Amino acid sequence: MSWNSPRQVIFPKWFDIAIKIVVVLVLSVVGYVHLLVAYGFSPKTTDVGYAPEQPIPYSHALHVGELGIDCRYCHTGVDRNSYSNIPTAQTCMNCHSKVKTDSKLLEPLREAFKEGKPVEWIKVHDLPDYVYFNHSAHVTRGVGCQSCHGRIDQAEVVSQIKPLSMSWCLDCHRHPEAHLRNPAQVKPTFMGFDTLTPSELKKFVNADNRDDYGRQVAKDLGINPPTDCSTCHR
Amino acid sequence: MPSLNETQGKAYWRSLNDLADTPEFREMVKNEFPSRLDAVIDPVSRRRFVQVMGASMALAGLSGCDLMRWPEKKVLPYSRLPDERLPGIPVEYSSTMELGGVGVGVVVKAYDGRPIKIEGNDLHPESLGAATAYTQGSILQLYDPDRSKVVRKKGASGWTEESASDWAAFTKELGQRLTTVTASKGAKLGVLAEASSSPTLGELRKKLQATPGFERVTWVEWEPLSRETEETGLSQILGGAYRVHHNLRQADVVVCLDEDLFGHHPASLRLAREFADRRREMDADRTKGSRLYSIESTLSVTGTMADIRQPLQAGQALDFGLALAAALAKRPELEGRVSSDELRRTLAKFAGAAAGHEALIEQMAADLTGARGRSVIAVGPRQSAKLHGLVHLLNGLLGNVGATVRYTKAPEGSSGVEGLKELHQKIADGKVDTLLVIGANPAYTAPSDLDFNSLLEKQGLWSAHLGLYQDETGLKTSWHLPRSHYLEAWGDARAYDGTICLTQPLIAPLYAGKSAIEFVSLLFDPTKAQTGYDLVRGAHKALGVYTGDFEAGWRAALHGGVLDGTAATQVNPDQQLKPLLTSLQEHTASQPSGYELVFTACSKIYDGRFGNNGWLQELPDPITKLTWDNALLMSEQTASEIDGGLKEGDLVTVNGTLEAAVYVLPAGALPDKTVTIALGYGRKEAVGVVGANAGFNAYPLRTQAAMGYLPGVTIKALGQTYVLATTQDHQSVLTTISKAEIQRRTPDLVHEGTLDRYTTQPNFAKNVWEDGTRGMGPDPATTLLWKEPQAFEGRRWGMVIDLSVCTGCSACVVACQAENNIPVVGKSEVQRGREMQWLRIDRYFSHKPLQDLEAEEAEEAEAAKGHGGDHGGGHGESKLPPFLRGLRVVHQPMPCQQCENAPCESVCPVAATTHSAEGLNDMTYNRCIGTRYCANNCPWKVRRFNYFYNHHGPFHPRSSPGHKELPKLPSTPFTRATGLPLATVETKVEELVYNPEVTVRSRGVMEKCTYCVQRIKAVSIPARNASIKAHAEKVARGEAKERDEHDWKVEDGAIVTACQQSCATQAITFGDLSDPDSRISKLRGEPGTKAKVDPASQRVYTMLPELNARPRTSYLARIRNLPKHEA
Repeated sequence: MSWNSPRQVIFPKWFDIAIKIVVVLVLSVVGYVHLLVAYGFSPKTTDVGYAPEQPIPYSHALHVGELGIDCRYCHTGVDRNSYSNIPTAQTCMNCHSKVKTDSKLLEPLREAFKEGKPVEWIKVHDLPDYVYFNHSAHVTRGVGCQSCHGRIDQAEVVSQIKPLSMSWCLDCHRHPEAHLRNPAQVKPTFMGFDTLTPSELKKFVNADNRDDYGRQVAKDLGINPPTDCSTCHR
Repeated sequence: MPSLNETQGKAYWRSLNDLADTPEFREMVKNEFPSRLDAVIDPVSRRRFVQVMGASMALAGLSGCDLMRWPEKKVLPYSRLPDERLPGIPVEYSSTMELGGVGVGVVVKAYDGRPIKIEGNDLHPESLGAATAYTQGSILQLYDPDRSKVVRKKGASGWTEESASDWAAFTKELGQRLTTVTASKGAKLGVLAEASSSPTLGELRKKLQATPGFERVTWVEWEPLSRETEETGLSQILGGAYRVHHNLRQADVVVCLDEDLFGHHPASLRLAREFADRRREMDADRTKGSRLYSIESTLSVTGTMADIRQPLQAGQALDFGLALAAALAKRPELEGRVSSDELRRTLAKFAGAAAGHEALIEQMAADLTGARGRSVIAVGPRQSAKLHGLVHLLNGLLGNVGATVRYTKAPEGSSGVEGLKELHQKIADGKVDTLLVIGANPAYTAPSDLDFNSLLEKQGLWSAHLGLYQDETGLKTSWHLPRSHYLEAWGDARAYDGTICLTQPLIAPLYAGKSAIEFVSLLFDPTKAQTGYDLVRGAHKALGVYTGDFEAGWRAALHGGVLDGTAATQVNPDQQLKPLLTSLQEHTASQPSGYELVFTACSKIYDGRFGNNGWLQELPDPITKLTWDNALLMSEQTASEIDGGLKEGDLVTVNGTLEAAVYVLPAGALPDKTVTIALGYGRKEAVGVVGANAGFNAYPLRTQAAMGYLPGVTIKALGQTYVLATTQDHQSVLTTISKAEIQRRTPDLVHEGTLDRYTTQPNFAKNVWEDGTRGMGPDPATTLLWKEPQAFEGRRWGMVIDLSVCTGCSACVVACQAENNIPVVGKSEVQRGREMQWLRIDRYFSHKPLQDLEAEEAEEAEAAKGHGGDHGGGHGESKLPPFLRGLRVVHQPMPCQQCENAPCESVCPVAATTHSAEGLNDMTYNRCIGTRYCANNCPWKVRRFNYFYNHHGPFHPRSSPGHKELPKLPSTPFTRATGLPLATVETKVEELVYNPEVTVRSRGVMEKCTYCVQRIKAVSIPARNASIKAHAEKVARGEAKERDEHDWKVEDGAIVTACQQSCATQAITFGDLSDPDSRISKLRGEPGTKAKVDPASQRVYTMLPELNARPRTSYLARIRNLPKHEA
C-alpha cells in the first residue's frame, strides 16, 4: 500500500465516539482529584472551628484576657514538656475554693476535687498519633501561644483556629520569621504581639516590622527549624 | 546433601541449606516477598479472616452513626497531681524480678502510671545495667489477656462459668481447713512454692513454723531448672551449703564443662560483662588475651563464644573432668599441691579416661597450669554432684579458690527433687491433705516419676493454687487464685550474690491478684488480709540490716532497688576429700550409652513459664533461629544414622514417649549420638492462647534419675513431617548475586581473626582498599559516578558493634521489640519470612579452621607479591589437631545501618524514607504507600513490611483458626461487658504496653530501626532548649550576638538506644561522631581523635564498603585466642 493510497483512514469510525468518552473520563478524573483535594483541605476535614461544649464552660477571655493569669499558671508543662497539660482540679481549686464557691457551673469541678476523679474535658487540638509535636521546643524559641491557638485571651470557648495540617506546620518551619520572638525580651504568652502595627511594635522591640524582628531573632538565637521527617514523625 | 569436603570452600554460611546451596534454597532466598495467596484461598483461614473483618466492620459502623468525622476524644487531668509528676514525662523506678529464686535488678519505665519498658539496673550487682530477654519480656505478661483474673473454685462438674468466686469465699474455706491443720500441729499442711529468695517470705515461713499449730508444716520449694547437683556436690566436699561465684575479669583461662555461663547461669549478666571487659583489655595489651574453653553436650551461647569448643556427650563429662584432673595432677608445677598420695593415685587411674581428647586435655592442662590463681573451671547443673566436687578440687589445686573462684553461704533450702519427693510421698500416704501451691507448676514440670497430675486429683486432698495463669496445676487443684505480677506488688528478693533487693509496684493490680507474701500471710489469720507493703516493711525492720534511720534507709533502698552492703560475705570453708575420693574410687569410666537425650533450659521461655509470651515465643533462638517451637536438635552425623537419615522437620519418637520434630545442626555442633531438646514446650490450652500447642513437651521423659540428660534412648522416625519456623535463612544479606560472589563476599561480612594475627597485623580486620592498604569504609581512591553524599553539619549519630563480645543472647532483640512497638506476627507468618523484629542477629557457621584460613590468605598474599609460583598447601586436609578444627559460630547483630548514601532512599517513589540533617535514615510511616522498593534495594535487608494489621490482624496468634476451639479460660469482664469477639477485645489490654513515643504502624507500611530516634529526641530537645534559653537571656542583656545552631551539648552516653541498654557485654556503642571526645569516635578512630583513639579501633570495619553506602553502623572484628600450632 503506497503512501497515497485511497484507503488512508488511520482512525476507524468508532474512534470519534471513543475520543469523546476519553475526554469526559479525563475531565471527570481531574474534577474528582480537585474535589478530593478541596475536601481534604476544607475546614470540615481539618476541623478548623471545632469548638465542642466542655463540661465546665471555662472562659479564657475571662481568666487570661480580663484577669491576666499567665498561661503557665495552669499549663505548667508547656515550656518543659512535649505535652501541654490541662490543669488538675487542684489547680482550679487554688482560687475556686475561695471564689465562686457556690457556682452551679463549677459543680463538676468541686465533684472532681472531692471524689479524686478527673474532669472530663473534650480534646480540641488533636494531632494524628504519628505526629510528635513538642510544646517546649516551640515556646523556648519564642513561638507565641497566639501562633497556633489564635487570640485565646479573647476566646470565650476554645476552638481550633488553625488547620494543624502538615503543610501549615511546614510553612512556618520554612519561614518562621513571623512567629519568632526572643522569649527573654517578649514573652511567648504575650497575646497580640504578632499582629501589632509597626508603630506599636517599636514600643517593645527595636525593629520596623514583625518579620524583620523575627529574622533577627532567628539569627541571634541560631534558630533554623528542621524539616527532617524525624522532626515530627517517629 | 553434598559432603563437607565439596562445600568447604564456603567459609561462612547460615544454615545447612545455605551450605548445600540447592536451587530450591536459592529460589527461597531470592523470593524476598513471598505471597500469602494460599492463606486467603485456604478455607479455614479465610473464614477466620471474614469473621475478624466482620467484627471490625461492625465497629466502624457504630462510630459512623453520629455523623462525626473525627471521634471525640477526652483529656483527663489528674484531680491532684502526684509529686514531681508531669503528664507525658516518663518516670523510672527500680525494682526486682525474681526468676528461679534469684532476684535480678530492673528499672521500669512508666508513662502516666502505665509501665511500658523494663531495663537493667546499673546499681544492681548482678544486673550491672543489663537485662535478659526474660526480664524484658516479663512486661508483656503483665498485660497478657490470658492471665488469671478471678478467684475460681472447681465445682462438681469441673471448671465452668459458675466457678468464679472471690477472695472472701476462699479465705472462709481456708479458715475451716486450717482448724484441722492446726489440730495436727500443721502436719496435714503442705506448701509447694517456687524457689524464692525473698527475705520477707523467709521471715513469714520461719514465723509460721514457730506458730503453735503450724510447727510441722511441710514446706518445699520446686524449680525444674535448679542447681541441685552443684549444691549437693559442694556440700559433700565443703560440708555445708555453699554457692560458687566466678570472677571472669581476673581469669586468663576459663573452662566450662557443660556449663552455659553466659546463657542460663543465674549470674549470666555479670559473668558475660566480666568476660567482655576482660576481652576488651587485649586491644591495648595483646598479652591480656583470655582463653575460653567450652566442653559441652549442647551448643550454648557460651559455646559460641569459646575460643576452643569441644562437643562431648553429657555422660562423658565426668570422665573428661577426671582425665583433665589426672593431667593436671601430673604437671610438675602442681605436683606439690596435690594433698595426698591417695588422691594422686586415684586421679592417675583416670589418665586415659577421655580417649580421643588427649591433645585437647594436654593443651588445657598446660594453659591452666600457666594461669594458676587466674583461671576458672566451671561446671553446669546438668552434671553430677561428683563432677562438681571434682571441679572444686581442681580449682583448689590451681589456686583459684579465694581468687577467681569464691564461695559464699548458700541460701537455706533447696529447690531440687528431694523436697518434691518428700511432699509427694506425704500426700500419697494421706499425711498431708491440705496443699497450697505458690507459683510452682508441678503438674507440668515435676519429674515424670513423681506424677502430680493424678496426685492432685487424689480423693480427700484439698488444694489451692496461686499463679499468674490458671495453668496445668491450677486446673487440677480445688481452688485457683490469681497472683499479682511483680510489677503490681511489693516484695523483695536476694540477688545471686546475696544482696537484698526491693520490688515495688508500678501499677495497682489489674485484677484481683495477691502476691506470694500476701497469700502466705493469710495463713496466720485468714480473715485479716495484710498488704504487701506492710509485710515487706515489717520484715525489713526485723532484719536489722538498716543502719541508722529506717525510713531513710528504706527510701534509699527503694530508690536504688538494692540494699547496699547486704551481699553474702565470702567464706573459705575447709574441704573434706574423703567422700569425694571414695565415690571417685568407685567410679569406672562410663561406656558409650547409645543415644543420649540432653534437656536444656529454653533460651526464650525458660522452663515454660513464659510460654504465653508472644515476644519471647517469636524471638529466634540464638543458635537454631527457631521460633514458636522447640525441636529435637542433632548434628548432621547423628541425623544421617537414624532410620536411614533424618531431615529438618521429620517427626520422631524418643523412647516411644516424646514425639518431636527434628532440627539438624551442622556437623560438630553437637556430640555424636547426642540429641538435645529445650524444656517448656508442648503445652496445651492451659498455657494460654498464644503459646498453646507450640513445640513438644520433653518433661515426660525427665525423671528423678535423669534430670539433666537421659542416656540410652531409642529414636524412631515416624514418617511424618512437621513445619518448623526458623528465620535463619530469612533476610540474607547476600541474595541476588552469583554463588561465586557470595563466597567471595561472605568473609567480608564477618571479620574474624586469631589473636596471633591481630598481634602481627593489627589492622587485619579493616576494609581492604584497591592499593592494598587498609582502612574503614569505602576506598577513598574510588572515583564516584555521583556527587559525594551531603556533608553533615552538627550531630552525626553512629553505632559500633563489637563482634568479639556479642554472645548472640538476643536480649537486644526483645529490647527493641518492647521499645518500638514491634508486633508479633505468629508462626505461619514467620515461616513466610515476615517476622517484624527490626534487629536480627545473623548467626554464621564455619567449618574451615580459622588458622587454615589465615595461612591460605598469607600464602595468597605471598603469591600475589610474586614470590612463589604454585602454592600447593592450604587447600588440602587440615593439619590442625581435631580440637582446633571444630565448628565455629559468629553472631552479628544487624540493625539498620543508617547509610549516609542510603540505597533505600533513592528508590522510594513517594519520599517516605529520607535523610535527616543528623544523618539518620528517617522512615515516615504515614507517607509510605508500601511499594517495598526500599526493602528490595536494601543491601542489609533490615527493612520490615507490615503485611497485615499485625497487632490484631487475622494472622495474629490470637486470631489463628486453631484458637477459637479453645475453651475460654477465665471469663473476662471485657467479653462479658462488650459481647465482642475475643480478638477485638483483648487488644485493649495489650495496647497498654505500647510506647507512646513511637507510632504504632499499620498495614501496608514499611518500617525499620531508627537508632531509637525517640530516645535521641528525648535528650536532644531539652538540651537544645536549655542552650537557646541561656543564649536568649544573654542576647536580651546585650551580652551575646549570633548563636550557632549546633551549639548545644549532649553528654556522651546520655543517649542510649534500647539494644545498647540491654546488652550484658556492652557490645553496642552509640554516640555522636562529630564529637571527637565521644566513645564512638574513639572506637571508630574518627579524624580528630588521633591522640585519644581507642585501641579497639584497630578492629573496626564496615560491611560491603564497595557499595559506597557509607553505613553509620560499623563493626569490630571477632578475635579468637587460639594456641599456636606447628603444622
